[in-house]
Amino acid sequence: MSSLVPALYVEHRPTEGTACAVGGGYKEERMAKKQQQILAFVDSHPKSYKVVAAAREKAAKTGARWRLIYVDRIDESVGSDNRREALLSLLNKARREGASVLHLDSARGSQTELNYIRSCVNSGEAVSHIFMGQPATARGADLRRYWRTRRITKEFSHQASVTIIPLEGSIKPASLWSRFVHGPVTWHTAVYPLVAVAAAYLAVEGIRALMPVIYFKINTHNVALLFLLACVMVAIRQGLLAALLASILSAATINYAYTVPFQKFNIGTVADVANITIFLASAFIIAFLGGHVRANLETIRRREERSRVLYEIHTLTAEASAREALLKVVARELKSLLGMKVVFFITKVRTSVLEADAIADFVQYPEKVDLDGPVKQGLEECWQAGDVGRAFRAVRHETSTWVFEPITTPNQKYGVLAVCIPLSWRLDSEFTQLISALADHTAQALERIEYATEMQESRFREEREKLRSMLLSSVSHDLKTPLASIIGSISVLKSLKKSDRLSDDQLETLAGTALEEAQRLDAFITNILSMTRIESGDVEFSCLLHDPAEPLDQALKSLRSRLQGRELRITRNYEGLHVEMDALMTAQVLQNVIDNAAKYSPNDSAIEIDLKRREDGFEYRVRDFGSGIPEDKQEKIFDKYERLNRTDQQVAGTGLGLAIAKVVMHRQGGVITAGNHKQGGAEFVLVFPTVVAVPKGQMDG
Amino acid sequence: MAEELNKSILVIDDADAIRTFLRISLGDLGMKVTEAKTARDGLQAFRDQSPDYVALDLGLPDDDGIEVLRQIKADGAGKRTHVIVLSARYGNKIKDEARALGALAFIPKPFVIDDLLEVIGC
Repeated sequence: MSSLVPALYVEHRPTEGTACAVGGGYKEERMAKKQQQILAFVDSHPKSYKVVAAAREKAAKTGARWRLIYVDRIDESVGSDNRREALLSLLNKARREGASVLHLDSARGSQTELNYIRSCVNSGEAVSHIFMGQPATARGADLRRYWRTRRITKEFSHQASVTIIPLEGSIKPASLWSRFVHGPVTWHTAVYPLVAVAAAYLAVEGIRALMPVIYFKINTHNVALLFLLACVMVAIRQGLLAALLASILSAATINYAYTVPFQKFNIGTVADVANITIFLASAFIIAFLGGHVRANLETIRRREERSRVLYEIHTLTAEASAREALLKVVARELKSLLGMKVVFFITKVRTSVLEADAIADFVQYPEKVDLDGPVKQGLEECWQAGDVGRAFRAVRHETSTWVFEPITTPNQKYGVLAVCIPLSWRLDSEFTQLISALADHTAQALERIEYATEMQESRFREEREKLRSMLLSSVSHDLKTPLASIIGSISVLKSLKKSDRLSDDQLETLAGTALEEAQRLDAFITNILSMTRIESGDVEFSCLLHDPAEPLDQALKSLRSRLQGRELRITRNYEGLHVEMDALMTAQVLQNVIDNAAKYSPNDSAIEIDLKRREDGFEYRVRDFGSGIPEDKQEKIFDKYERLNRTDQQVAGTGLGLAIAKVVMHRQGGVITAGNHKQGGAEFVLVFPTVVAVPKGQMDG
Repeated sequence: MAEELNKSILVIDDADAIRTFLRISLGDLGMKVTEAKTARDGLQAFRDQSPDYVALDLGLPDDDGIEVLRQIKADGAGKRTHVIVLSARYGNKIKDEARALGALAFIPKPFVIDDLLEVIGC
């Protein structure tokens, strides 16, 4: 890039400048302490890239921050749209290279650059270098630019190095139309002045009609004042073009109605010529002032709007957790925020390298659009260019302009953000900044989602692996202990029988033990199987409406022998309702929970089971009169790992029941919690969220 | 196998069924059988009665059986006690550890009663 920078810089180095070095307060040591800053001013000059290149080179050499200030002058033409786009991509590229890019709207002839440097210096920023372009010749419109750079050099060369880069060619002055029109021309632009002038005319006529009453002497001056008022209103409300129209309309009306000869566009006296001229002059000044205010307001409004868009998108992207949903929501929001069509082209394949026909693999959000030749080519170019610089593309189309911005992070290319802009829209650097900020936001969100998914997957894999190894080690205990009892008992039985010393009592005990242990083994295997099947999704849950008594009855039936001799206190505080649940699975949960209560409380104690309607659903409450659950175990008892971790320290074949209960409740949309009753004993609560009232007659269904 | 054994054995195992068949079988042989369900009770019973044999499960609810073995062997009287480890734990590592700590034998669960009787010597 350095070849682009001509060697004939006119550098004004403070240390070298003989005249300046004496009186200047430039202290290098003090400057070095602060972060150095390079300011580079560019405008619509076709050779502005030279200024950028020089600033970039300096920044790279010194490691200082650099700021690129684009000054948009309403009286200077940017030229063709291609030129404008080239300029925008120049700014964009600088931004990606680390420059902060600022967009300043400048009124005609104002000292925007000078004021900006002053404000920087006054706020204590260490401006070390200033880069500006200057036309090679000082003629015509370029003369102003020439004086501008002279003045900045004079004022700042004692505290910063000011580099003036000669630029061949000159800027064309902007067309009258583009100077006057700041924003789209609508029918308001014509109607508003008409209405205002008509109102002024009616006001004057009204006053004239009331003249005898209020003793108001009408003459050209006070008539003119009323019309000026109309012009001011129009200027503030509708901007320059409308205000100029109002001025001319007003002047014509005054001429026609209030100057001699009346009812004619003719001026009879020299005094009236002066009057109307002065009126027009004042009206024009007002129009320009109003237009300026209006333009400034418009800029502020636009900026606010854009920060709002960014903020909203930022919020949205921060919340999103799935790729597709994110893109759809962002595209929809952007469409409504910008009022433009927004499409995301996202690759299906993960890629960090360029692929020639990756474009065929794009998925489009929120919906598919058909792009014709040149637009498609622009998209392709943007995708190919990636983030290597001039990636921003704008393609003009019959009715609109498509703007493309790559969606990339340093690690990954995701696709292209395409925005369809109406032809009347004036592309400016702030808008392209907004677009690329949006693309960056999206890219980051996509990356975040991708990482999150990957992490979740690996966590899932890890968990599965952990479960597998735990199952394996627990099998050795949980399956072998009951087997040990069975094998041991039967071996004793056999050996006693062999020596003919087997009493009936011993036979009873040993055979009973073996049978009990075999049943325990069966229960455990069933539990393990249902756990794995539920977790892997093999078990289909059919959640229908059931009388909540159904699963309880089923559970108690299965536990009949287990609960022999235990007192059951069942209370049912509900009527006329059904609960949405899988009855079989719920019976299994209740069975596990009641079995657990029986296991951890004295054999002669009661078990309480309450069924009742509650505000957020329906609950089963199972309470025992044992020693309760230690505080730190209340969550853990549902954890299968907790159980598996303790392998052989627990009675074989127990513990998985509660883990299963939890999984089953979760799959049904319910909740199970464990705690202790105030008066002692453990208490388990099962809550189902969906309850439907049922008329009495249908309760049996 | 029919001869009377005038020896005592302490069974430390939390599984009721295991203790039951050991009690029946060893009692039938004339051994004095004492039972304990936890490591704590087991150690207490060991100190109280100094049995000739200890049948020790490793997965006890309150502590690991290996710890019980270590404490028995640390006890002066324990040096002469024959400890037979009964465990469902799998692998040579645990077997070697038990042996190194002075266990007479390591019998993997499940086992038939003859496996144990063989070790005890009848």
